[in-house]
Amino acid sequence: MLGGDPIRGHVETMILGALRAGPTHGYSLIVRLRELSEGAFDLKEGTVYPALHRLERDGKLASGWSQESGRKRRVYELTPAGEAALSSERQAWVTFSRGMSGVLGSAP
Amino acid sequence: MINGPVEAFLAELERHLGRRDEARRRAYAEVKEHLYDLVAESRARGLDELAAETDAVDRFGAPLALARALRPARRLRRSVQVGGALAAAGTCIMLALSAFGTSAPKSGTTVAQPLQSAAKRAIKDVLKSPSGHTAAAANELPEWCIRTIETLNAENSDTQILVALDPRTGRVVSWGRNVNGYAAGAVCRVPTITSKYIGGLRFAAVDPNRPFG
Repeated sequence: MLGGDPIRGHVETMILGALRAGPTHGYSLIVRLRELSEGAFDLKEGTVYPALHRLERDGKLASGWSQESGRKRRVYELTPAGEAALSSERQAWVTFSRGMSGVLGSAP
Repeated sequence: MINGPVEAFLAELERHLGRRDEARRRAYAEVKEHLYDLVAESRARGLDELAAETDAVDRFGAPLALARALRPARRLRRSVQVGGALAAAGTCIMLALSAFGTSAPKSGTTVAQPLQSAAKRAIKDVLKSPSGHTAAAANELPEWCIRTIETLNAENSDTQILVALDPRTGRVVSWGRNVNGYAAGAVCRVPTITSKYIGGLRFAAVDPNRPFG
């Protein structure tokens, strides 16, 4: 499982990517990230919530309260600006990973 | 009495985050619901209550750090500064109309237009000045006041400093440390004519003709 420096700087992109599958609340988002990454990313709540709030302040996410099984939860979803940011980040990542693959070469 | 790690965590978070605006109340509510989800998940996996709660709060980290990260960002581009040193976090500046030389209106009447206009103008002046405060205020706040504000902001304290300005002249007439919503000192229970809330700062102009509590 990855953590710390390799993750830092990518948390917001991860959140945008995970919300591509549809709106959800913080608890489910963390579970989704863990599942999508096959266990590589287990982001802590203390990391995710500030990032969610930052993304919402930046206009990339929108949120609202939702009632679920008698509990109130804050559900987040991508805005058009969030979709655009995700698309841009995805492209940047493809370029980066292609470059790194070239530099590192294939596994022996 | 606080029972368990989750309640203790929430109490600390509330203390550091505060509840003075919708954003903070919402952040608190989100964290609270999520904590209970985590506890329920751990209990379903067989952990006892204490272990489940301890795990849950561990995932959120220290309440102070979380509160700082969740506080709404300042919408003001420039921090309110006094002598270049006043950081915006946790500081509330109230503009109080001075009672000097003003005649009291009849009780039950609305605030006279010139006073209301002066109040609005004073707030605008503070907001649009290059350093975020009136030049007169910067020059007139005593050094020990500036040092106290610096210290409180370095601690990221939620303690508020109330500074009373005469909007007619921009001069400081009083200041005090906000204790439970009131300034210790000359300005207490100041009734508000008009106010502007921006980010974590509240600018309020107060009617000097109504009695202070």
